[in-house]
Amino acid sequence: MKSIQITINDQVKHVADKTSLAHIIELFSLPELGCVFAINNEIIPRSKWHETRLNSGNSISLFQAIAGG
Amino acid sequence: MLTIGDKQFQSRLFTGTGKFSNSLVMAQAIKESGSQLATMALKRVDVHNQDDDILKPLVMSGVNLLPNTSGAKNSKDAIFAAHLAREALGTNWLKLEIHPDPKYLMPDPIETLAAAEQLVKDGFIVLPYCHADPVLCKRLEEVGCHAVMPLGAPIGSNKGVVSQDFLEIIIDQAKVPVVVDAGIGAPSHAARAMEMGADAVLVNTAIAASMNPVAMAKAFKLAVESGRLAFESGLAGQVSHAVASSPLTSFLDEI
Repeated sequence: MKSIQITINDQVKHVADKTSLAHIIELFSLPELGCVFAINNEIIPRSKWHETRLNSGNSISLFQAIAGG
Repeated sequence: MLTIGDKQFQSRLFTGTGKFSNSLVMAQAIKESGSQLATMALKRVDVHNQDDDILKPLVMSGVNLLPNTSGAKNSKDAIFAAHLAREALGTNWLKLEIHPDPKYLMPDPIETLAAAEQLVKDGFIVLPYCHADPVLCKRLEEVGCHAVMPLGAPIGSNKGVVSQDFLEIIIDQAKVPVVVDAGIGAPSHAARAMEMGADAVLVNTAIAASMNPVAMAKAFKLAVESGRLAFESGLAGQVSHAVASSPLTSFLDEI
């Protein structure tokens, strides 16, 4: 299977071509609760995580709710 | 009962979730405070080092979440952070805060007003953290903010309501709830803000950084209730000379 290079929060990762965003959560044991993805600074709604397929060179940002005042 | 936007609050104490030693203490303290609204922040996930999960205990407790835009240095950052938060936490409630200077964390009024106007149009319930500036608070109200959150003192300073004279003007003029945010360092400060007629206070550091956060949360709960009751009861006025509390019957003169 063809592998592509992406970045997740500036970390270079190699995943299978057309991997879904939802699969990224499982693949890297990332927290799902209170998380949000942006690809190339565009926010991807949770409802589209399954259908959003990654392409080579995608820059993914993953944000998470944390403690704060 | 306090109403902001579409929600009603029995508790007038809002709490922050930062600076607690762990999520268990945080959850217990918020429970003990009676607070029904707790702030959260957002950050980029460290792919290699996961943080303590604080969201689960908060969601379990049923408290409403108020994500903030901490870290935003201008309106563009804040608007992006707001949209991230809405997606991450499934709420359109937002504590809008824009403080570019890390030393004093003073809120930028120009960027805050611009962001507030846009975020209201985008459907957010916007609670802006701002300086105790009566003119700014009116402007924020006019662009559709659902409450204003003027500071008592710099964030985390625990100095109390040093902006008191200006908070009084804000409270007098406001047609939306006034939540005194930042600087409240002791239950007496919270009580003072409530006696002045603030609709609520937001407390984080003073609870989280105390020796016993769970007990301190209760102390703040009581102080906020006490201050509110005093405000509703109408404080007796001040005068600069003594006024006897016992009747001056002069009966000893007659012996």
